[in-house]
Amino acid sequence: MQALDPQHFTERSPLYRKHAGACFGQLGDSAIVASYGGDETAQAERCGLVDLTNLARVGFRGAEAAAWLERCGFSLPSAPNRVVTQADGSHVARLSQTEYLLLGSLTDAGKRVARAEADWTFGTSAVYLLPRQDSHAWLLQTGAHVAEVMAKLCGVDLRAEAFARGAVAQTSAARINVLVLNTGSCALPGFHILCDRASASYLWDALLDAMAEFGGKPVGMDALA
Amino acid sequence: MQLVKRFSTVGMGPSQGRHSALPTARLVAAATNRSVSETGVTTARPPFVAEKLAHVAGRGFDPYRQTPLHQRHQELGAKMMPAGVWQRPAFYGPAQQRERCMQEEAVHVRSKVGLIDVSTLGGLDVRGPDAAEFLNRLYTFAFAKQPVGRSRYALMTDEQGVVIDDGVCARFADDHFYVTATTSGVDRIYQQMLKWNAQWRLNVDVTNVTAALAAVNLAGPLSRQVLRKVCHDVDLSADAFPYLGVRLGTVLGIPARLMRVGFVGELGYEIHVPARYGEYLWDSLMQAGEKDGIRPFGVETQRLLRLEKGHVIISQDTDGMTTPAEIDMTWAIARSKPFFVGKRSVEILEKQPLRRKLVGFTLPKGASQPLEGHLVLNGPDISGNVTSCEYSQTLGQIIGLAYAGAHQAEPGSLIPIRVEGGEVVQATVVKLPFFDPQNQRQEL
Repeated sequence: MQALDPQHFTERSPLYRKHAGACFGQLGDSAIVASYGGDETAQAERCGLVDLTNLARVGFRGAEAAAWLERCGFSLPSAPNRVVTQADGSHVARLSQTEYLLLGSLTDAGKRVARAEADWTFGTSAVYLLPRQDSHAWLLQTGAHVAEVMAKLCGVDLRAEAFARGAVAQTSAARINVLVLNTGSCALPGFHILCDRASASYLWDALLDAMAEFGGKPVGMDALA
Repeated sequence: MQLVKRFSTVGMGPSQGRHSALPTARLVAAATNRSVSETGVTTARPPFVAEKLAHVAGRGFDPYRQTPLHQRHQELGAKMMPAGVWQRPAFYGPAQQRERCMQEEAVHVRSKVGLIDVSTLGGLDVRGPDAAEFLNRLYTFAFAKQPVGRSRYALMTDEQGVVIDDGVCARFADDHFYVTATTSGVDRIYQQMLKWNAQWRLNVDVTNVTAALAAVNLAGPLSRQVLRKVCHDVDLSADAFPYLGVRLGTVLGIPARLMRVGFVGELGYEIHVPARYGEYLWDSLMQAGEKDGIRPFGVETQRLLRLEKGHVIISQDTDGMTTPAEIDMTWAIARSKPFFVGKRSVEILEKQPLRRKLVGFTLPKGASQPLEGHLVLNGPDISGNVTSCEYSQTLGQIIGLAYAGAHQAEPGSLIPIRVEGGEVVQATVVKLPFFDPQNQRQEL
C-alpha cells in the first residue's frame, strides 16, 4: 500500500478526517488507513479501534433470503443473533428469522460480499436488499479489554462468559443503536460494531474516550494482517 | 397555573419543579391578584424524594448526527443550526449577517442556481407486491394508479385526523416506492409503518434509508444546464423529464435517484446517492456549476423560498391539532378510497364548522416584523398565531403564515398581530402563494 489521499476517491468514510496523518492504502474505490505509525500489532492486541467503513457489507431480508444466500455459497447461522465466519474470512450474521447481514473480508477486499450485492436483482423473489454499507458505519474494536470498554457504553453484559464468540447483540451503546458481533479469536479478541452512518463521528469519539484508560488508540489495516 | 406551565415549560426541567414550582405560583398569584392557595401549584409526581448524585453519575452521552457533507459546509463558512439531532447549515456566512446572507442566497436561487444539502430528509423504501396498497392505506392520497417514473405528494394523518407528516412518494417500479418524510418526523413515520404493516400483514418490506442516502437539491433556472454536465444517461429535457418526474440514472458514474421537485418554487432536481459518494457528488456539482455561478444555500434560505411559495412545513406551520382543511390540503385527500388512517376522523371534522385557518399575510417593508408564535387577535380574544414570517427581498415586503379565525381568512381581510413590545400591526390576508402563482418557474 502507498500513501494516498481519501479525497481522491469517489467513496469516502465519514471518518476519514479523523485519520489525519495516517498512511492510507487503496481498498476498491476508496482509501483505508493502513497504519497510524508505531507497533500497531501490539496496540491492536492491547486495545485498538479500526475504521472498516469502506469495506463491503450488505443485508438481505425476506422469506427467501436464506435460500438465496445458500445458493450464493454462504454458511448461515442456525438461529437469530448468531454470526458465522466463512472460510474466506467474511462473516454472515443472522439478525432475525428472515434477515441477514454480510460483512466482507479484508482477505479479498470485500469482493465476495460486493459480488453478492451486485448479483441481486429486485423483484425476482421475496428477497430485499438492505444497503448496509451506506446505512451503517463499521468499526472493529480489538484487544484484551473489549468487554471492559463496552461496559462503559452499553448495558448488555458483553464479557466472554455471557457473550461468547459467534454471538450478536442488537442493543444501544452511548445512547445510539448498535449491532455488536463477537468474531474475535483467543489471539485477537474483537467486536465488530455497526452503527448509524450519520452517527459514526460521534461513536468513534465515544469509543476512543472509553478506551483511553486502557491505552486504546486507532489502528490501521496492517495490524490485522 | 396549568396554562402558565404549558406555555412556559416551567417545572419541566431537570429539577422537575423542585426549584421553580413555588416561585412560579407566587408570580402567577401576584399577576392575577390572588393568593397562592387560590392559584394552586402544579401537580407533583414521583420521584418525591431527591435523587442521589451517585444515581445519575457516570458518562453523559449527547448523540449527534452529521450528513456526509458536514465538513464541506464548515469549510464554506456555514452557520450551522440544530435540526433534532442533526446539524444543518442555516446559511453561509457570519452569524451576525444572517439577513444579508439569506436574502442573497434566496435571490441567487431565483436568478441562477443553488445547491442545498437535504440528506436529513427522511427516506423510506417501501417494496413488495402490496407497496401501493400499503401507501394507499397509510397516506391520504391515492397511489394505486400512480405511474412508474412519477412522484406524488403524500400527506399523513393520525387516527384523530391530525396532520402528522408529509413528503412525496416516488414510484421507481410497480413494487418499489421511495417515500420521503420530514427530518423530524421520519423515525416516527417509520415506526408507524412497521406497526401498521404488522397489523395489516401485507406483502411489503419497509426499510429506513435516511442515513444511507446523501441528497442535494440543485435548484434555480440554470439547474438543468448544470446537471447536464454530469448526468449523461437521463434525458433531462422538460418533455422527457417533466415536473414531478423521477428517474434512476447515474451522476458521474454514481447510481442516483433523480426527482423533479418544486419545494422552493424553481426548476429543481433532488439527487439522492449512496452516502459513501455524498461528498464526491457535492464537489462534482459545485465544480460543474462554477461557470454558472452556483452557490450553496442553507436551510433558513430554503424556508424563505418555500414561504414565498406558500408551502407549509409540517410541525412548523402545523401543531398537534391541525387538520387538512385548516391548511387547505383537502385536495390531497382521495375521497374514493375506502380507507386511510384517520379517514373517519377527517370526515367527522369536516362536517363541523371550521374554527381557524392557516392564511398567508403581508406587511409593508419597514413594518414591525412578527415573529413565530406572535398572537393573532380577534377583538379581545386570541384567534391564532404566526407560524412563519420573513422579509422577502424578491417580493419587497414582509410575508408570513398564521392561523386566524375562519371569519378572518378571506383575502383582503386585516388581521391584528401583537408583536414585540405589545404593538399591534394590521397584516393583510392574501391568497397563496405569494410568488409565481401560476407555478411556471418550477415546471420549466
